[in-house]
Amino acid sequence: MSPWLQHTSFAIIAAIAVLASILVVTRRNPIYSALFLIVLFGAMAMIFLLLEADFLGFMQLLVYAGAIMVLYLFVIMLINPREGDLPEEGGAVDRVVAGGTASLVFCLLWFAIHESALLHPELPAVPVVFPELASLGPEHGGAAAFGRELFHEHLLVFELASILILVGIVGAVHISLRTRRRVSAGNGLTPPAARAEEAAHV
Amino acid sequence: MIHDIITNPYVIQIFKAVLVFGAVLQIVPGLVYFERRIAAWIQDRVGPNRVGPLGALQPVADVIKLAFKEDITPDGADRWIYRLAPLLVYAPAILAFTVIPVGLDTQAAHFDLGIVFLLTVGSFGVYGLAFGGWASNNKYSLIGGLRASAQMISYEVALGLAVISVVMTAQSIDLQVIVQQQYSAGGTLLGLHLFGFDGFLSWNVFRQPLAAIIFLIASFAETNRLPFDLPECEAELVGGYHTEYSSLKFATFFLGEYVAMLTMSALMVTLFLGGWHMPWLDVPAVMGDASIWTILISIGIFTGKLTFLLFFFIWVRWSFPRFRYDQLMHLGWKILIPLSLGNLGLTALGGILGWNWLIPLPF
Repeated sequence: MSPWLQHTSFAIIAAIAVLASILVVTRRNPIYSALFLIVLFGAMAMIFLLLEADFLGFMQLLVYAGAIMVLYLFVIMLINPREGDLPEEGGAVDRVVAGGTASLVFCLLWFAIHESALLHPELPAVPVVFPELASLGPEHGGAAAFGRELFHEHLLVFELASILILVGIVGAVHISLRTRRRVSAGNGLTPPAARAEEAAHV
Repeated sequence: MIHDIITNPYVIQIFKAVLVFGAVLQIVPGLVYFERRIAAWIQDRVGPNRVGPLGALQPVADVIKLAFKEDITPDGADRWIYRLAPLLVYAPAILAFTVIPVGLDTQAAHFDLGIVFLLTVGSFGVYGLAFGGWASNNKYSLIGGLRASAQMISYEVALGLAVISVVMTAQSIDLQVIVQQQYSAGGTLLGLHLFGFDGFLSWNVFRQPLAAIIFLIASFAETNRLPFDLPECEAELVGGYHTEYSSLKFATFFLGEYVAMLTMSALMVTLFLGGWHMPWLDVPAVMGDASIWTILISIGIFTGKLTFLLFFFIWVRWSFPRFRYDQLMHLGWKILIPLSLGNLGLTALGGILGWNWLIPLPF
């Protein structure tokens, strides 16, 4: 891919990503927010592909756009909010706080990117988007290279993340079991009467 | 000049894309006819037999009927998402088909991450059902969409784990390599040559039998076919997520479902049934490695296996009653997922210990 094409593609995809993320927070209807969040994940995956991180790009789509967003959508559809049901958005104070927090995070990110080793001083003055791609081997971005990196270099972080997810699963099971135990005293099965009672309780 | 144009790689890519698109679109009406005839045969009735010889032109009549129906958008429907939804069912299914190797070195797009691409794109099909169900502003549609998203996300886990077992056996995520590995391993069983080119025992359906069964069941759920067609379930939800759709929007939903079935069957052939490999016949050696005959014969073999699987899908649809929703969730989460995890663990253990009894594994 020629540098010109690379820069142009990046500009277009980045514009789509920024536009989509603005639309995510400004749409009143949560279904539309979810839709634009999917578009945003798509654009981010495209940026990964431009960086030749193919595997990571597809994982981004598979995990976030293909699985997690489906669950979000499921919950939104279960509540099924229509225009009119939606509460009024927060007042001026809330907006200032939210905007300030977002700007702070943006400034931090800007600083981190600006100071990072990726932007070497010896590189030309024109901002180079992907300065290190040329030095990477042909294996870069493939599943094998990704796996090696993940399980050799970042094993501890990986294991910590797994434990976090495990805790989440145990928590979810505990919450669902607590409801059931309260309803049916220990026989493991929920009789219809108790189920109706539970529904009434909820 | 013309030679330059037809050998230009971009032109070849576009040609391949159009070819796959056209072929898949042509298969679907045939498949619908096939299904109606087989359904009639199973139920001991005649089926469509009026339009053309043996009713073979029935799909054409169906398409004309669909195209001339009034295209209705219900009041209170969300116009944009309502229009987008059918395309979201159809596009991922046909896109996923592009990476499947339908013959020796024959696929629309060959790249190393084939199976990852396929799973990723395939997982997008659920949005069409969910968005379509929501945008119709109809309770039945909404319940259909909800069921679709819950069902597909549940069975995708089992399906993915079954695929990972196969990937571990093949030690590759490239679909071409997964096919090659199913005919390249040699060996004997009780003195008989039944592996590699000499037989069918090196197909993944025999090396990973549990994964094959799990994949088969999950693919029925992923394509919303009976016995797992709860999202549309005409007995209780009218038509589920596509209740409000008419005319070509409905046709697009219909098309998407059949293409998804085709893609799932093709993936099953590739992963478990040896792809284009035919037992006791070494096609590249007989016909020459890069000859056009090799490619055509291998595509023919692949199509034969695909036809059998499509027949199986239809056969099951007209033979089993629908599951109850809690039974569906029970089967998915409490039976298939633990089984596929166990199978994955067993495969990993086998890989580490180098088990090589009975079936020659490539480690």
